Amino acid sequence: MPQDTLNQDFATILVFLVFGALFVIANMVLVGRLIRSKTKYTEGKSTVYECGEPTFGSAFVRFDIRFYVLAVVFAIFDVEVVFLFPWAAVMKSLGPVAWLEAAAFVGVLGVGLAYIWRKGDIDWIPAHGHTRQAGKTLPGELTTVPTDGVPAATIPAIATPAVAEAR
Amino acid sequence: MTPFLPLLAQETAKLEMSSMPDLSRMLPGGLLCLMVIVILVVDLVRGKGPSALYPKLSMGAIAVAFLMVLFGTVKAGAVGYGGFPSLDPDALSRIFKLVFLATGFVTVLFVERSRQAFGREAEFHVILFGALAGMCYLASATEMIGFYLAFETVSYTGFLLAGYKADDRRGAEAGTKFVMFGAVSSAVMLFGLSLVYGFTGSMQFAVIAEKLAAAGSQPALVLAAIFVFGGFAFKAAAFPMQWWCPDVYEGSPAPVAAFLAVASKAAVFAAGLRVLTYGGVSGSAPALSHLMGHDSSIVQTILICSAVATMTWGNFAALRQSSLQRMLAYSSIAHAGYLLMTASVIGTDKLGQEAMAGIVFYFLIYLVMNLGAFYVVTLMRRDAGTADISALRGMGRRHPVLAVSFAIMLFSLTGLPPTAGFVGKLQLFWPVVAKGYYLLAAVGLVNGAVSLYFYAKPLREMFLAAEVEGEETRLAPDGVDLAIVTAFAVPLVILGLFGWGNVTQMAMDAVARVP
Repeated sequence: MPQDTLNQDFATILVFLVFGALFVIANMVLVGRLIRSKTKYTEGKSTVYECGEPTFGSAFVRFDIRFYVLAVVFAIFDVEVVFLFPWAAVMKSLGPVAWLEAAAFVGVLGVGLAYIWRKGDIDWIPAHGHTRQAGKTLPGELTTVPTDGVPAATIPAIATPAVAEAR
Repeated sequence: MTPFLPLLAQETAKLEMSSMPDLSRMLPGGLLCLMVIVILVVDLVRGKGPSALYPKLSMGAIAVAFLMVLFGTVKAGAVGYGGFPSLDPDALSRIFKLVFLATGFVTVLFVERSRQAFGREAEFHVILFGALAGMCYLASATEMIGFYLAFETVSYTGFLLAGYKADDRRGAEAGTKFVMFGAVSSAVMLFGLSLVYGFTGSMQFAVIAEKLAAAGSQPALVLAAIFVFGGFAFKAAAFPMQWWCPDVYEGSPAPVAAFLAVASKAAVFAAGLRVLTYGGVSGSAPALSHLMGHDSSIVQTILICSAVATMTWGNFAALRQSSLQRMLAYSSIAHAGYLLMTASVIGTDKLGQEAMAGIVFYFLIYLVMNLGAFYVVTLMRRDAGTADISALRGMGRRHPVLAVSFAIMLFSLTGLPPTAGFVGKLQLFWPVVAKGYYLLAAVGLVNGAVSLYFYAKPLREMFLAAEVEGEETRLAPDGVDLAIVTAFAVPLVILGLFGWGNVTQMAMDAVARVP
């Protein structure tokens, strides 16, 4: 009976779910109570933990959209490397077809990289369309805003003023 | 790590050796993918600035792909790596590919004629080719991974096209809304697909249909069917996922709205027909549509409920619209409803095949009449800067050719004789009536009557409403515009009067897997 086997297959999953839930609850409620420190609430316990660095300012600030573009480009090449590792390990046994396929894959990504490079999307200050007012900003500074001829006062602060102040 | 890699090598080597896929059968799609790269490289070499080169390049490449599909032979058998056939370029996908490519060609033409400044012009063509390639693969996908990849390619490129004028407030709104709804519906559909895979253990549509037939109706499968339908409904702009449609169509540039309304909808219906009726390469395996005959069939229930809600919602909401572009968006929703109504009776028997042929036929007609109507919107946006229906006032006297052509398109969209739209509607309703679903057909007919009212609104403005002094229509179509509009209107009349038999035969051949 296919229906019965289907149900049996899912019974395994059900068992996993039940035990998984029990495991978490038992550890949190029973085991944890025995093991964990008896110290009560302190000021330090409620602060944000960020890799050991003391935190400052609010996290609710507007981030420059250019971070996002760079992050996407990074993610693409990050994933490319992940794909290339298994390919590199077996390339010899697969022969020239595998080499061609990977070459096409890397080639397409290469064209994409050349494109965004040429279009200035990975420059911190866009290469075209924006003119930087001399002496106002420095490349790489977080508070850099491409002014594009608009008076600086009309542009909302995009980067993290809190960071600048704290420093 | 170490035991895994040699194993992987073994398996991959087996796959590679068993069969190098016959790439010639993927040619039109491959050409479109190649064009994505070619245009990027051309743009890289040329540098910035608009150019008349891109539209010519795009239209040329699309025309070549169209001819390749039209004159290429359809070889039976699925394409894919090793034991994973994923694409079946059969007659059904072939006719839909022609629809996509024709729409793509016309869209480029419209963009060219709209004389709008599209920033980063080359990118527009890159995205368009991406969308076309995705649609071509979607129409022939026969397993879930390929299907989902192609589906998402069509979605993502659609988001980009809809929000292409991101500096425009409405354009940004259109893009954002499309992305939000798209992400949710995609997640819902993916969840449904994972349930289907969990139950059947296969990615192949034909195997899934077989396993589902054996499994009977189970709660989880009902859930899966509803979820998967959610993804389809989103792209087809059908109830309950139609909310994005009016805002996106209104905010997008008019040519893009035309592309989404015709090509995107055709792509999802092509995929839907394949999911429901694909019975393996030989066509002998039971298809999902075998399950649809029973009264308790969940798929059929979903389709009928959605069809009734979609056409009613679309038609009644269209009544109150004053913007032609928005009205056409609601009209596109209503048409999705009519198509779903017929989709609920498709199958592999004779009547079911007639229903499928009706849907294919309707898309061929819909392509002409809807693109023509959107060209009028393009002209309105270009010359008058608005898509408001009142901008058409007095057209009947000032530009009679344009007005009469547009009137023919509207008649055809309504489904009035002697236009092709009438024949199309007839072929959509006939299988439903023949199957004995009188109530469903009656709801469709009432909706058709309602649609008469809002399609008549532009007619009243063009021919009856008196012009206000100093507010004459600003539309100034030149000879090329009139030629284009006429080229869309004339086939509708010819097909409506005597040419429709051949097209019906074409549609019947396509669904009968005859090359």
